[in-house]
Amino acid sequence: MPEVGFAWYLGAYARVAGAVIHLADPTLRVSGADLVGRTSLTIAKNCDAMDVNLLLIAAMIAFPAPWKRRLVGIVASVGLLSVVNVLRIVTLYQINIHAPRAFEFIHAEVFPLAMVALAVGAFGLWSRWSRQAELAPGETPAHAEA
Amino acid sequence: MPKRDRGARARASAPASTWRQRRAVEVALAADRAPLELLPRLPPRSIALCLGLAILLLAPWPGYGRLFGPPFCAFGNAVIVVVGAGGDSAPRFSTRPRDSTATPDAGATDWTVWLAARSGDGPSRPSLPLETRILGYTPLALSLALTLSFAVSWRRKLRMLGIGLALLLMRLAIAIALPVSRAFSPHPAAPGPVSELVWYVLIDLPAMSYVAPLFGWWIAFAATRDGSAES
Repeated sequence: MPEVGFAWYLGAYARVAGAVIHLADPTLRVSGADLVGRTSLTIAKNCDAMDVNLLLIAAMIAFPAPWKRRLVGIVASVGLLSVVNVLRIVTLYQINIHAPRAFEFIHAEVFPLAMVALAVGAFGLWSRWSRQAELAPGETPAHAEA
Repeated sequence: MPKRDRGARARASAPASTWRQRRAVEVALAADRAPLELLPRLPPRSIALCLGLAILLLAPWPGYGRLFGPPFCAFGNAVIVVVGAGGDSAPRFSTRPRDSTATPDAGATDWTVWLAARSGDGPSRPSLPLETRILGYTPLALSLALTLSFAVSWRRKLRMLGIGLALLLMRLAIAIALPVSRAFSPHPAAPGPVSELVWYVLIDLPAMSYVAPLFGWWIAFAATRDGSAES
Protein backbone atom coordinates (compact mmCIF):
# COMPACT_ATOMS: atom_id res chain seq x y z
CA MET A 1 0.00 0.00 0.00
CA PRO A 2 1.42 3.46 -0.87
CA GLU A 3 2.55 5.55 2.08
CA VAL A 4 -0.21 8.14 1.66
CA GLY A 5 -2.89 5.46 1.51
CA PHE A 6 -1.38 3.67 4.50
CA ALA A 7 -1.29 6.89 6.54
CA TRP A 8 -4.95 7.52 5.66
CA TYR A 9 -5.79 3.95 6.67
CA LEU A 10 -4.03 4.28 10.04
CA GLY A 11 -5.69 7.67 10.51
CA ALA A 12 -9.09 6.09 9.87
CA TYR A 13 -8.32 3.49 12.52
CA ALA A 14 -7.33 6.29 14.91
CA ARG A 15 -10.56 8.21 14.18
CA VAL A 16 -12.74 5.15 14.84
CA ALA A 17 -10.88 4.30 18.05
CA GLY A 18 -10.91 7.98 19.01
CA ALA A 19 -14.67 8.16 18.60
CA VAL A 20 -15.07 5.33 21.10
CA ILE A 21 -12.48 6.72 23.53
CA HIS A 22 -14.11 10.15 23.31
CA LEU A 23 -17.15 8.73 25.12
CA ALA A 24 -15.02 8.28 28.25
CA ASP A 25 -12.44 11.00 27.66
CA PRO A 26 -13.91 14.18 26.13
CA THR A 27 -10.46 15.80 26.08
CA LEU A 28 -9.30 13.39 23.39
CA ARG A 29 -8.17 14.81 20.07
CA VAL A 30 -7.23 12.82 16.99
CA SER A 31 -4.43 14.15 14.83
CA GLY A 32 -3.48 11.89 11.94
CA ALA A 33 -2.70 8.56 13.58
CA ASP A 34 -2.16 10.13 17.02
CA LEU A 35 -4.63 9.98 19.87
CA VAL A 36 -3.95 12.75 22.37
CA GLY A 37 -5.98 13.21 25.54
CA ARG A 38 -5.25 12.25 29.14
CA THR A 39 -2.49 10.16 27.60
CA SER A 40 -1.27 9.73 24.06
CA LEU A 41 -1.19 6.78 21.69
CA THR A 42 0.03 6.48 18.15
CA ILE A 43 -1.54 3.98 15.79
CA ALA A 44 1.56 2.61 14.08
CA LYS A 45 2.18 -0.09 11.53
CA ASN A 46 1.12 -3.48 12.95
CA CYS A 47 -1.31 -1.77 15.35
CA ASP A 48 -3.96 -2.53 12.77
CA ALA A 49 -3.73 -6.33 13.23
CA MET A 50 -3.03 -6.56 9.52
CA ASP A 51 -0.61 -9.45 10.01
CA VAL A 52 -3.23 -11.53 11.83
CA ASN A 53 -5.83 -10.66 9.20
CA LEU A 54 -3.53 -11.64 6.35
CA LEU A 55 -2.61 -14.96 7.96
CA LEU A 56 -6.28 -15.73 8.59
CA ILE A 57 -7.23 -14.87 5.01
CA ALA A 58 -4.38 -17.04 3.72
CA ALA A 59 -5.56 -19.96 5.88
CA MET A 60 -9.13 -19.58 4.62
CA ILE A 61 -8.04 -19.44 1.00
CA ALA A 62 -5.85 -22.52 1.48
CA PHE A 63 -8.62 -24.52 3.16
CA PRO A 64 -10.70 -26.60 0.73
CA ALA A 65 -14.04 -24.81 0.55
CA PRO A 66 -16.20 -23.12 -2.10
CA TRP A 67 -15.38 -19.46 -2.76
CA LYS A 68 -18.76 -18.31 -1.50
CA ARG A 69 -18.09 -19.82 1.93
CA ARG A 70 -14.55 -18.45 1.88
CA LEU A 71 -15.87 -14.95 1.22
CA VAL A 72 -18.39 -15.26 4.04
CA GLY A 73 -15.62 -16.42 6.38
CA ILE A 74 -13.17 -13.71 5.32
CA VAL A 75 -15.67 -10.86 5.60
CA ALA A 76 -17.01 -12.06 8.96
CA SER A 77 -13.58 -12.80 10.45
CA VAL A 78 -11.90 -9.61 9.28
CA GLY A 79 -14.89 -7.63 10.54
CA LEU A 80 -14.71 -9.35 13.91
CA LEU A 81 -10.94 -8.85 14.20
CA SER A 82 -11.26 -5.20 13.24
CA VAL A 83 -13.91 -4.56 15.90
CA VAL A 84 -11.84 -6.38 18.51
CA ASN A 85 -8.75 -4.45 17.44
CA VAL A 86 -10.53 -1.15 17.97
CA LEU A 87 -11.53 -2.37 21.44
CA ARG A 88 -7.89 -3.36 21.98
CA ILE A 89 -6.76 0.18 21.19
CA VAL A 90 -9.42 1.64 23.48
CA THR A 91 -8.36 -0.73 26.27
CA LEU A 92 -4.69 0.12 25.79
CA TYR A 93 -5.51 3.82 26.05
CA GLN A 94 -7.26 3.23 29.36
CA ILE A 95 -4.44 0.98 30.61
CA ASN A 96 -1.92 3.69 29.76
CA ILE A 97 -3.88 6.06 32.00
CA HIS A 98 -4.68 3.77 34.92
CA ALA A 99 -1.86 1.17 34.93
CA PRO A 100 1.01 2.45 32.78
CA ARG A 101 3.45 -0.10 34.19
CA ALA A 102 1.36 -2.93 32.79
CA PHE A 103 1.07 -1.29 29.37
CA GLU A 104 4.11 -2.84 27.74
CA PHE A 105 3.36 -6.39 28.88
CA ILE A 106 -0.27 -6.19 27.81
CA HIS A 107 0.55 -4.40 24.55
CA ALA A 108 3.43 -6.63 23.50
CA GLU A 109 2.35 -9.99 24.85
CA VAL A 110 -1.23 -10.34 26.03
CA PHE A 111 -3.06 -8.67 23.15
CA PRO A 112 -1.01 -10.18 20.30
CA LEU A 113 -1.60 -13.64 21.74
CA ALA A 114 -5.29 -12.88 22.26
CA MET A 115 -5.65 -11.66 18.66
CA VAL A 116 -3.94 -14.77 17.29
CA ALA A 117 -6.09 -16.98 19.54
CA LEU A 118 -9.20 -15.19 18.31
CA ALA A 119 -8.13 -15.66 14.69
CA VAL A 120 -7.45 -19.34 15.30
CA GLY A 121 -10.84 -19.73 16.95
CA ALA A 122 -12.53 -17.96 14.06
CA PHE A 123 -10.75 -20.21 11.58
CA GLY A 124 -11.66 -23.32 13.58
CA LEU A 125 -15.34 -22.39 13.72
CA TRP A 126 -15.42 -21.40 10.06
CA SER A 127 -13.65 -24.57 8.87
CA ARG A 128 -16.00 -26.74 10.93
CA TRP A 129 -19.04 -24.90 9.58
CA SER A 130 -17.70 -25.11 6.06
CA ARG A 131 -17.01 -28.85 6.25
CA GLN A 132 -20.37 -29.57 7.83
CA ALA A 133 -22.15 -27.54 5.17
CA GLU A 134 -20.26 -29.48 2.51
CA LEU A 135 -20.77 -32.94 3.98
CA ALA A 136 -24.40 -32.55 5.01
CA PRO A 137 -25.97 -33.56 1.64
CA GLY A 138 -23.55 -36.48 1.22
CA GLU A 139 -24.06 -37.90 4.72
CA THR A 140 -27.50 -39.37 4.00
CA PRO A 141 -27.49 -43.13 4.53
CA ALA A 142 -28.21 -43.93 0.89
CA HIS A 143 -25.28 -41.82 -0.26
CA ALA A 144 -22.92 -43.07 2.45
CA GLU A 145 -23.60 -46.67 1.40
CA ALA A 146 -22.98 -46.00 -2.26
CA MET B 1 -13.00 -53.58 6.51
CA PRO B 2 -11.96 -51.17 9.29
CA LYS B 3 -14.38 -48.41 10.19
CA ARG B 4 -11.90 -45.72 9.20
CA ASP B 5 -11.81 -46.95 5.60
CA ARG B 6 -15.61 -46.94 5.30
CA GLY B 7 -15.71 -43.33 6.51
CA ALA B 8 -12.99 -42.25 4.16
CA ARG B 9 -14.70 -43.96 1.24
CA ALA B 10 -18.01 -42.33 2.11
CA ARG B 11 -16.33 -38.94 2.17
CA ALA B 12 -14.60 -39.69 -1.09
CA SER B 13 -17.95 -40.48 -2.68
CA ALA B 14 -19.41 -37.19 -1.45
CA PRO B 15 -19.59 -34.59 -4.19
CA ALA B 16 -16.39 -32.55 -4.43
CA SER B 17 -17.27 -29.52 -6.48
CA THR B 18 -13.86 -27.95 -6.96
CA TRP B 19 -10.47 -29.30 -7.93
CA ARG B 20 -9.14 -28.21 -4.54
CA GLN B 21 -11.77 -30.24 -2.71
CA ARG B 22 -11.12 -33.27 -4.90
CA ARG B 23 -7.41 -32.88 -4.28
CA ALA B 24 -7.95 -32.61 -0.53
CA VAL B 25 -9.93 -35.85 -0.55
CA GLU B 26 -7.28 -37.56 -2.67
CA VAL B 27 -4.48 -36.39 -0.44
CA ALA B 28 -6.38 -37.47 2.64
CA LEU B 29 -7.13 -40.88 1.21
CA ALA B 30 -3.53 -41.28 0.17
CA ALA B 31 -2.55 -40.59 3.75
CA ASP B 32 -5.28 -43.00 4.91
CA ARG B 33 -7.13 -40.36 6.83
CA ALA B 34 -10.14 -38.15 6.32
CA PRO B 35 -9.63 -34.42 5.61
CA LEU B 36 -11.01 -33.41 8.99
CA GLU B 37 -8.37 -35.57 10.66
CA LEU B 38 -5.71 -33.32 9.19
CA LEU B 39 -7.00 -30.80 11.72
CA PRO B 40 -6.79 -31.86 15.37
CA ARG B 41 -9.94 -32.37 17.38
CA LEU B 42 -10.29 -29.60 19.93
CA PRO B 43 -12.29 -30.80 22.93
CA PRO B 44 -13.09 -28.04 25.46
CA ARG B 45 -11.01 -29.77 28.12
CA SER B 46 -7.90 -29.67 25.94
CA ILE B 47 -8.49 -26.03 25.02
CA ALA B 48 -8.90 -25.12 28.70
CA LEU B 49 -5.74 -27.07 29.59
CA CYS B 50 -3.84 -25.35 26.78
CA LEU B 51 -4.97 -21.91 27.95
CA GLY B 52 -4.02 -22.74 31.53
CA LEU B 53 -0.57 -23.96 30.54
CA ALA B 54 -0.02 -20.95 28.27
CA ILE B 55 -0.96 -18.55 31.07
CA LEU B 56 1.27 -20.43 33.50
CA LEU B 57 4.24 -20.43 31.17
CA LEU B 58 3.82 -16.90 29.82
CA ALA B 59 3.00 -15.11 33.06
CA PRO B 60 5.71 -12.60 34.00
CA TRP B 61 7.25 -14.70 36.76
CA PRO B 62 10.39 -13.18 38.22
CA GLY B 63 13.58 -15.00 37.30
CA TYR B 64 12.31 -16.75 34.16
CA GLY B 65 14.38 -14.45 31.99
CA ARG B 66 17.59 -15.06 33.90
CA LEU B 67 17.02 -18.81 33.54
CA PHE B 68 16.35 -18.54 29.82
CA GLY B 69 19.32 -16.27 29.05
CA PRO B 70 22.18 -18.80 29.31
CA PRO B 71 20.61 -21.49 27.09
CA PHE B 72 19.62 -18.81 24.58
CA CYS B 73 23.22 -17.53 24.52
CA ALA B 74 24.55 -21.07 24.08
CA PHE B 75 22.17 -21.73 21.20
CA GLY B 76 22.85 -18.35 19.59
CA ASN B 77 26.61 -18.82 19.83
CA ALA B 78 26.32 -22.31 18.35
CA VAL B 79 24.33 -20.90 15.43
CA ILE B 80 26.93 -18.16 14.87
CA VAL B 81 29.78 -20.69 14.90
CA VAL B 82 28.02 -23.20 12.63
CA VAL B 83 26.83 -20.59 10.11
CA GLY B 84 29.99 -18.52 10.34
CA ALA B 85 27.97 -15.34 10.78
CA GLY B 86 29.98 -12.25 11.63
CA GLY B 87 33.25 -13.52 10.18
CA ASP B 88 36.42 -12.31 11.90
CA SER B 89 34.47 -10.23 14.40
CA ALA B 90 33.57 -13.46 16.18
CA PRO B 91 30.42 -12.01 17.74
CA ARG B 92 29.07 -13.84 20.76
CA PHE B 93 26.02 -13.61 22.95
CA SER B 94 26.38 -13.17 26.69
CA THR B 95 24.03 -12.42 29.55
CA ARG B 96 25.98 -9.27 30.47
CA PRO B 97 27.30 -6.46 28.24
CA ARG B 98 31.00 -6.68 27.45
CA ASP B 99 31.54 -2.93 27.61
CA SER B 100 30.55 -0.21 30.01
CA THR B 101 28.61 1.84 27.45
CA ALA B 102 25.63 -0.45 27.61
CA THR B 103 24.31 -0.38 31.13
CA PRO B 104 21.13 -1.90 32.53
CA ASP B 105 19.72 1.65 32.44
CA ALA B 106 19.41 1.29 28.68
CA GLY B 107 16.09 -0.48 29.12
CA ALA B 108 17.51 -3.93 29.73
CA THR B 109 15.35 -6.54 31.42
CA ASP B 110 15.85 -10.05 32.75
CA TRP B 111 15.22 -11.20 29.18
CA THR B 112 17.97 -9.09 27.63
CA VAL B 113 21.08 -10.77 26.28
CA TRP B 114 23.99 -8.92 24.72
CA LEU B 115 25.77 -9.45 21.45
CA ALA B 116 29.30 -8.15 21.02
CA ALA B 117 32.26 -8.68 18.72
CA ARG B 118 35.14 -10.43 20.47
CA SER B 119 37.98 -9.87 18.05
CA GLY B 120 39.01 -9.69 14.43
CA ASP B 121 39.21 -6.97 11.82
CA GLY B 122 35.49 -6.44 11.54
CA PRO B 123 33.82 -3.18 12.50
CA SER B 124 33.89 -2.36 16.19
CA ARG B 125 30.45 -2.29 17.75
CA PRO B 126 29.15 -1.70 21.26
CA SER B 127 27.24 -4.56 22.84
CA LEU B 128 23.84 -4.85 21.21
CA PRO B 129 20.88 -5.72 23.44
CA LEU B 130 18.43 -8.36 22.30
CA GLU B 131 15.15 -9.13 24.01
CA THR B 132 14.74 -12.90 24.01
CA ARG B 133 11.27 -13.28 25.46
CA ILE B 134 8.98 -12.76 22.48
CA LEU B 135 11.55 -13.90 19.94
CA GLY B 136 12.69 -17.07 21.69
CA TYR B 137 10.83 -17.98 24.84
CA THR B 138 7.20 -17.29 23.90
CA PRO B 139 7.12 -19.56 20.80
CA LEU B 140 8.78 -22.41 22.71
CA ALA B 141 6.41 -22.03 25.66
CA LEU B 142 3.36 -21.97 23.39
CA SER B 143 4.61 -25.02 21.52
CA LEU B 144 5.00 -26.85 24.83
CA ALA B 145 1.51 -25.82 25.99
CA LEU B 146 -0.11 -26.86 22.71
CA THR B 147 1.62 -30.21 22.52
CA LEU B 148 1.11 -31.25 26.12
CA SER B 149 -2.55 -30.30 26.35
CA PHE B 150 -4.12 -32.13 23.43
CA ALA B 151 -5.57 -35.60 23.62
CA VAL B 152 -3.02 -37.83 21.96
CA SER B 153 -0.80 -40.52 23.43
CA TRP B 154 2.37 -39.53 25.27
CA ARG B 155 4.53 -41.20 22.63
CA ARG B 156 2.94 -39.05 19.97
CA LYS B 157 3.22 -35.98 22.18
CA LEU B 158 6.96 -36.55 22.45
CA ARG B 159 7.30 -36.94 18.69
CA MET B 160 5.21 -33.82 18.11
CA LEU B 161 7.25 -31.93 20.66
CA GLY B 162 10.47 -32.93 18.90
CA ILE B 163 9.19 -31.86 15.48
CA GLY B 164 7.63 -28.64 16.77
CA LEU B 165 10.70 -27.59 18.74
CA ALA B 166 13.00 -28.44 15.82
CA LEU B 167 10.97 -26.18 13.51
CA LEU B 168 10.93 -23.36 16.06
CA LEU B 169 14.66 -23.66 16.68
CA MET B 170 15.23 -23.44 12.92
CA ARG B 171 13.22 -20.20 12.91
CA LEU B 172 15.22 -18.93 15.87
CA ALA B 173 18.47 -19.81 14.10
CA ILE B 174 17.37 -17.73 11.10
CA ALA B 175 16.35 -14.91 13.43
CA ILE B 176 19.87 -14.93 14.89
CA ALA B 177 21.98 -15.62 11.82
CA LEU B 178 20.52 -13.04 9.43
CA PRO B 179 20.92 -9.89 11.57
CA VAL B 180 24.30 -11.01 12.97
CA SER B 181 25.57 -11.48 9.42
CA ARG B 182 24.41 -8.01 8.47
CA ALA B 183 25.64 -6.25 11.60
CA PHE B 184 29.10 -7.78 11.93
CA SER B 185 30.31 -8.61 8.46
CA PRO B 186 33.12 -6.23 7.43
CA HIS B 187 31.67 -6.02 3.93
CA PRO B 188 28.00 -6.74 4.35
CA ALA B 189 26.33 -7.75 1.14
CA ALA B 190 23.00 -6.25 0.23
CA PRO B 191 20.27 -8.54 1.50
CA GLY B 192 18.81 -10.68 -1.24
CA PRO B 193 15.11 -10.85 -1.95
CA VAL B 194 14.82 -14.38 -0.55
CA SER B 195 16.44 -13.50 2.79
CA GLU B 196 14.35 -10.32 2.97
CA LEU B 197 11.18 -12.31 2.35
CA VAL B 198 12.12 -14.98 4.89
CA TRP B 199 13.02 -12.31 7.43
CA TYR B 200 9.81 -10.36 6.93
CA VAL B 201 7.43 -13.31 6.85
CA LEU B 202 8.96 -15.60 9.47
CA ILE B 203 10.60 -13.23 11.93
CA ASP B 204 9.60 -9.61 11.58
CA LEU B 205 5.82 -9.92 11.70
CA PRO B 206 4.91 -9.57 15.39
CA ALA B 207 2.17 -12.19 15.15
CA MET B 208 4.63 -14.81 13.90
CA SER B 209 6.00 -15.42 17.39
CA TYR B 210 2.52 -16.65 18.23
CA VAL B 211 1.58 -18.19 14.88
CA ALA B 212 4.87 -20.06 14.34
CA PRO B 213 4.27 -22.48 17.25
CA LEU B 214 0.78 -23.12 15.89
CA PHE B 215 2.21 -23.94 12.47
CA GLY B 216 4.87 -26.15 14.03
CA TRP B 217 2.29 -27.92 16.16
CA TRP B 218 -0.04 -28.48 13.21
CA ILE B 219 2.77 -29.78 11.02
CA ALA B 220 3.83 -32.11 13.84
CA PHE B 221 0.22 -33.23 14.26
CA ALA B 222 -0.18 -33.95 10.56
CA ALA B 223 3.18 -35.69 10.34
CA THR B 224 2.58 -38.12 13.20
CA ARG B 225 -0.03 -40.77 13.79
CA ASP B 226 -1.33 -42.52 16.79
CA GLY B 227 -3.73 -45.42 16.94
CA SER B 228 -5.30 -44.76 20.32
CA ALA B 229 -6.08 -41.32 21.64
CA GLU B 230 -6.00 -40.53 25.33
CA SER B 231 -8.44 -38.09 26.80
